[in-house]
Amino acid sequence: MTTNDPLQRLRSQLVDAAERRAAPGEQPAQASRRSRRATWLAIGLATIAVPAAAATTGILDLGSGSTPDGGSYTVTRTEDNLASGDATRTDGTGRTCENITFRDKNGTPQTFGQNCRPRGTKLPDTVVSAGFDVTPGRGLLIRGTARDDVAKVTISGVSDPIDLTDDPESDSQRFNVVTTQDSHVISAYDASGRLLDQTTVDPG
Amino acid sequence: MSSQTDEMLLRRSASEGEAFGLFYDRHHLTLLGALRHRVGSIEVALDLTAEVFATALERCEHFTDRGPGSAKAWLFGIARFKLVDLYREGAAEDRARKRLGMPQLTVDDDELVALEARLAAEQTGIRDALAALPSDEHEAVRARVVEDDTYPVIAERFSVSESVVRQRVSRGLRRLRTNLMEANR
Repeated sequence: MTTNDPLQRLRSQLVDAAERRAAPGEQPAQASRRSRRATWLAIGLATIAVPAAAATTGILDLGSGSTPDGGSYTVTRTEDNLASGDATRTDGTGRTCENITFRDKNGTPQTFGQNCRPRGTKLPDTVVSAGFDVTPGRGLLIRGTARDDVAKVTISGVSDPIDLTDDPESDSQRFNVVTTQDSHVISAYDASGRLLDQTTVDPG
Repeated sequence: MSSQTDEMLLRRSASEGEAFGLFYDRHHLTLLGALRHRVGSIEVALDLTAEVFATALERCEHFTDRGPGSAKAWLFGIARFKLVDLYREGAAEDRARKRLGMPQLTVDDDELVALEARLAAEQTGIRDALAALPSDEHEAVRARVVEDDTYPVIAERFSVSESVVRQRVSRGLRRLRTNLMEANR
């Protein structure tokens, strides 16, 4: 197609690619699974083999909300490729960290928690998993991941449905919610409403 | 314009290429504008836009319809991840496009200038429509959508309840949508 509009050229490319995927003989889901495995392998290899250059190289907003005491929170993910925070090391053993920042009702920020894992590692293939942080106002921020086939997550004591955010790179979904500082049961259901798994967070 | 929702189009995209084309038609300019705002370069933003849509096409079978607006939110969620990759790698990745066998999108300087002008015109239209809203709705929409403040923060700033802020944002967005559709007729 010849057009002076690059956005139209991109459209044509995408429609052509979609038609090829839909053509008989192609199994998009299988191909997608294969490519995801290849992607994870590639990420793992790149993490080991490629020398790193920059310190913090990315920030991802994973969610935000309000706390019971009128404040707010945001969860972001940072990725770095330095070893143990040493700016002179370039062995590529980076980390992925979730950083939880709470703000009081005046908007004053307090960085409250951080959870890190080695970059390039895949999340465990559990149906649902969750961690928690106690908010400054004695609430409980529950953060978690749910497998791709989970359609609904409920948390005991929370009446509203829990929003699940797709994470294209890890085949998982993420959620976070602020509730009271009690023990909570987290339940994961598939699209037909069948209970897949349960886990508990207990702030003690 | 198709009467089908974005969610319907995404579901059909796995078997019908043109359905994905219609989904692209609805969101490519908004996405390109948002990415242009974030990365500061129309060329990089275009590259990212291509990769975001390619990833969306690859994963459309995994999209879960959670009601109106969920398809657009899903698309912009992918864009956030691609931004992270951009910051990490220093360049927009092209893995999804390669897997789909898409050729590299080559763009010359004149086309980039034309794209910038088109985005600027689009944004001017939105700014004008926003300015035409009643002042309480204008302030609420600006605070929530443009400045990304939370409802409690906005409520405190304007000394009103959170539900009043939600009503103003909802009414303002509805009016904004209507005004923009009328302006484009």
